[in-house]
Amino acid sequence: MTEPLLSVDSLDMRFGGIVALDHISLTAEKGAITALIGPNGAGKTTMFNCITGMYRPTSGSIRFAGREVAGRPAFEIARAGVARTFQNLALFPGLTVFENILCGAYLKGSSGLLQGALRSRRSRREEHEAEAEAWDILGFLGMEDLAASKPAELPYGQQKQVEFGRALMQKSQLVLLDEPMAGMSAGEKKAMSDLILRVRSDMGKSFLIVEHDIPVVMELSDKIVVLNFGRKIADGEPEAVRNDPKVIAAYIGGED
Amino acid sequence: MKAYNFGSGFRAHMPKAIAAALVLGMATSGALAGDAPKDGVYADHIDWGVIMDLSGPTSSSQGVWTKGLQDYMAMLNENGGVGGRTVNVLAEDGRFNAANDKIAFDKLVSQTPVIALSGFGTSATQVALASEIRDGAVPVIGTYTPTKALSEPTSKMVYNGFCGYKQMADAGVGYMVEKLGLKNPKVMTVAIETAGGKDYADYVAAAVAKYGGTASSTTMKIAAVDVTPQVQQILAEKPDFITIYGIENTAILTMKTMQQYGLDTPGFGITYLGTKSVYNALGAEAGGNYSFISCFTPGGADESDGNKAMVSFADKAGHGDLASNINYVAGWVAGMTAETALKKVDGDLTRASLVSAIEGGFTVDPEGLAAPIVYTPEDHTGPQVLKMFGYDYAKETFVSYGDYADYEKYTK
Amino acid sequence: MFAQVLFSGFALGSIYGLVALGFAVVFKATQVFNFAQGALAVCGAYFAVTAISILGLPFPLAILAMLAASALLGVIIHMTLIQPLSGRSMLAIIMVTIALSIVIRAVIEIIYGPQGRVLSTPLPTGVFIVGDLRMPKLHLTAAATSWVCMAAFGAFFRFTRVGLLMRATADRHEAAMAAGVNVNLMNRLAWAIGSVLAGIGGLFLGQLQIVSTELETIGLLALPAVVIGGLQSIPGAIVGGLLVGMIEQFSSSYISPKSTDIAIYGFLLLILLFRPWGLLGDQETGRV
Repeated sequence: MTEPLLSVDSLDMRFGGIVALDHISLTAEKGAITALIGPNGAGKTTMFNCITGMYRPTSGSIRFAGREVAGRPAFEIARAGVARTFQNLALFPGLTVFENILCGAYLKGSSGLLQGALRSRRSRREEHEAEAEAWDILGFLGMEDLAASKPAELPYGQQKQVEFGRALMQKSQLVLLDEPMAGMSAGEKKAMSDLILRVRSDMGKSFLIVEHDIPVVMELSDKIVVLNFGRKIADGEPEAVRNDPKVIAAYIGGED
Repeated sequence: MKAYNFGSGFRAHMPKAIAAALVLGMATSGALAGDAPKDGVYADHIDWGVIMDLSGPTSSSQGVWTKGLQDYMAMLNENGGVGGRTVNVLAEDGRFNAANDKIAFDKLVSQTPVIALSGFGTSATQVALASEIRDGAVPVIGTYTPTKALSEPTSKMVYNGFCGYKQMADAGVGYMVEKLGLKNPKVMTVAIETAGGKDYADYVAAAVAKYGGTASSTTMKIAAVDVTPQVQQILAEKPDFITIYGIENTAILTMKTMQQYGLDTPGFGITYLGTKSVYNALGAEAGGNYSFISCFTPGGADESDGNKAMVSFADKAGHGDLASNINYVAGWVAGMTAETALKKVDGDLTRASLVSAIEGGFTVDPEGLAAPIVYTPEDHTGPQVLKMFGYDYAKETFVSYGDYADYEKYTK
Repeated sequence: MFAQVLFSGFALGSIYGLVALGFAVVFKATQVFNFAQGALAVCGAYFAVTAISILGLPFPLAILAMLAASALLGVIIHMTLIQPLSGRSMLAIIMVTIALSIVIRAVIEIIYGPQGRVLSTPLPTGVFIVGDLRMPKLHLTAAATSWVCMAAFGAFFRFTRVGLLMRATADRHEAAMAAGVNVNLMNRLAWAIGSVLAGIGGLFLGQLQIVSTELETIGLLALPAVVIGGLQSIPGAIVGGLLVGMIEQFSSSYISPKSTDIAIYGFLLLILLFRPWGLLGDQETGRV
């Protein structure tokens, strides 16, 4: 059996005396959509921040594509192939939609930086390629008309799509989506689900998703991991998780 | 246990200890009161005080002056000192701040007492301390910057040691008017914003008025880095010549900026601004328009006895590069003045005996480094005869324009 | 007289704009209100003195050495002082920059002495005279170079990938990190650029005037310039610099040389009262 794309093993994250993640282990298989659910404060976003290098975990291991990445700087993990979106949107407000997406095409090392600054022939060729790719992604999202707009001029749902587009631009194998459907209408949620499935089938990307809308999660995911108060209480296929008494208890107890 | 015993034992003996300390203290202060050291005079040496800016924006001139005075005293000490005592210079740094000067002044008056003081390069300090010095017990012999507040009316406590601004203005304006053949001259003073700068501009205006001319002035901060507006004013007013009061940096800035704007108006600086570093900074083109008025002859500019002695001692002291600096010469001549004053005292040397010994006047012979300096009971102006100097870039020496005697007419 | 004052206001204002641009780049990238920007300009001037007068390097080489030294200084400051303090209060970092400027000043006075130095370069001197208007070639060179630098850096930020990523990083650190941008490297680059721009400003100021630590006061005119122009705005920094130069020269020629500080900071107060985000700043994010 081949190693999962992402495998988290016995991960602990403490902030002072508070245990945010308590010995969590989980995996995300290549080509799968894995969901991470749980009541508010369960540690889902903390888990994302550990995986993407925004936090340095207290202990435990995070292996991605066969490499240990726990504690590596965020930009290195991103370059290793992990892209993400944020719960509260993290777009670049001063940049156009097109530029926002283009930023996903990172520079390769500091030689890339120097060449980029001096505009060497190679870097100019790379720039052209990246721009063409950004246009492709805009086309894929159906947002070509909006390329020159600033993010703030778009409705919320489309801003989420721009952030998604930037993650696609990163050529990553695994995309972490933090509440991609939050604040969306039913129609927008449907469009986002379709988009995720289309990306998986067309681009072969894998997903790890945090989402509160349980029906959407049940329909979309191949596997669901449930956290509660920093602990994993269930892990399995949607059907099995749905009927797990611990999950039901957590949701009834957790949601007022 | 031990510590406790020691403590109680000490406490038991405390009254005795206090009494002993008191007796000792009284004996010491009695010795101080009865003996000479109160006035900075000891069996083998005399303490002489200097308050100057040894750091900060004015230190490039005042620090050099202090070295001149110290070197003269070192030479004097090598030759036996004064009345069998060496002269020890206590130099305090005022850091271009009247508050520091005041602390240094109090220290040299009472804490580490000195027989007399020299220096006081910061004009604001002289103004602030004027009444304290004039009503006090410590004579000030050889001031670096003369101000009206400290030196007028003439006081038995104050003897100026530098060319006066009035004499600089009179001699400089007189020479320039004559040399350029001007009638109704238009003159502009470029000064830094200090008490001395204002005095100087007034003296220039008075000197120019004697020739039926008009005078104006412009000022800059001592830390000025941009004098474009001042040069714009020169451009607009087109004076026949300018005269500069300030520090080396402001003089260089003024002449340099004028050159950038293609102005070749001649200018002369006050004595303090006659240094090689000013000429080197200006370069031959801008430096050709610049001269300075001085009562002191820079080292190497002539072959007088005093000049040769000074240059050779400066070389020996490792200050050879300073001997051509007008400030060094001024410090050196202040040393001569201090020596002459000390030698006027017969019998016990105290502050009071020094003051009364020189009250009737005395004359310093600077051996060619300046015209003889005559102090009379009514006149403590100090060096009064000045002449103009320029710089020979090829020979790297100062050039004197004429003799001191030619200039007497301007200051009389 | 008017044209003459306008000219010198423009020439000096262009240099102030350049130094202010360096300030704005650093501020945008790292949110550091850099009180040492004036000291960085002084460093540039002394690097030039060292390369030209002390080491006697040929002029083009000396300029390259001076630019490299300025860039390196910016990088070192970021690595040793700014990056370790990231996340601390703005006040703490401001105090660090103030302390830094004092240290730089003291170190320069220890190494080079209190006496100002003259920087002589092979740049053309002399003056163009058009009617009553006198235009020194040095001022023209300084203004032209400043505008070329400002245009070049404007193009760099607008049209290159590195420029794009720097803008993105300045906009939102965590998003840039997640997108694979080495945020520390970008910030270091911003400090290098800020220091180089200050250094070029210092080179010209030192040449027009005297190289001394007092140049810092001129370099610090970048602060009112960026506040007037708008803290977050790159064009605002340039416009602010130009305005400060004009205000300085006009007030000093038409009122009195003593009035320049009052005029500059009085105008600053008016801006803060009626348009606190600056002339070209963003009303939402640029409020001082």
